[in-house]
Amino acid sequence: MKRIDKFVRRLYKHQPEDHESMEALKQMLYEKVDDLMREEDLSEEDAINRTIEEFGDEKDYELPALEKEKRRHRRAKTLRHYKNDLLFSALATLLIASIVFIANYTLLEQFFPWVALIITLGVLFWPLSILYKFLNKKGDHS
Amino acid sequence: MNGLPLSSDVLRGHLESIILTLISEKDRYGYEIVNEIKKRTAGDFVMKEATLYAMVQRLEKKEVITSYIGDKSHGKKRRYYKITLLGKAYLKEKKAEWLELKDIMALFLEANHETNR
Repeated sequence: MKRIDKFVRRLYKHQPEDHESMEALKQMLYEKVDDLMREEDLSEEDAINRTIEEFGDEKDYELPALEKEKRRHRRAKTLRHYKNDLLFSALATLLIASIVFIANYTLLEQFFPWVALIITLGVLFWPLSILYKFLNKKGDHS
Repeated sequence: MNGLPLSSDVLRGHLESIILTLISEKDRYGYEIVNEIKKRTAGDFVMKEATLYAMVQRLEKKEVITSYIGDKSHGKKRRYYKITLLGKAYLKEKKAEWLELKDIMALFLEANHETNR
C-alpha cells in the first residue's frame, strides 16, 4: 500500500497540507485494492497496479482547492516572465536609443534630433506594451 | 444503448446527480459507487475515476453528503457516504433541472422539423 501513499502524495504536491482530503482519497483507493483482491482474486501488486491505472489522468482529479493553488502558481510564473521581458526590453530600448543618438552625433555632420527622437519613441513602444500587459495581468485577480 | 461509449465530458455535468442518486438509495463507499455505475451502464459510460473521487470529496465539502467509518461484512473498514437532508433537497432540484433540460433537448434534437425536408 506504500505505492498508493506515494501516488497520492505526488498528486497533492501543490498542497501537501490538505491532509483530510488526502486521507479520504487514500481510503477510497485502499478500498478498491481490497475489493479487487477479494472479488477478482488479484495479488496485492496487481490490484494496486490496476487501481493506479484506472484512476486515470491526474488532471482529471480536480479538487477546487487544488485547482486554485495551481492557478496561483501559473499566475506567479507568468508575472515573473513579464518582469523579465520588461527588464530586457527596457535595457534594449536604452541601448538602441543611445546608439542612434551617438551615431547621429558622430557620423553625420548635421544633427537631426527629430530622426533620433522618432526612432527612440518607436522603440519605446516595445517596453510600454509589455508594461501594459504586466499591469493588466497584475490587476486581474479572478 | 448502442454505439461508442459516452465519454466523461458529456455526462460530467450530471455525474453529481448520478453519485447523489446512488448514495440516496443506500450508503455506499467510494469504489462501490464506481462499480455500481459501471455495472448499470454496462460499459456504455467510460468514467474517469479521478473525476469521480474528486466529485465525491467536493460533495462532502458542500455538505450534501457525509461520511462515516463502517464495517464491511468481509474485509477491512470502509468509509461510507450518506446523503444529508440538504443533499436530498439538492438532488430533488437536480432532478427537476434534468427533466426540464431533457424536454428542451428533445424539442430540438428529436423533432422532425421542416429543415429535414
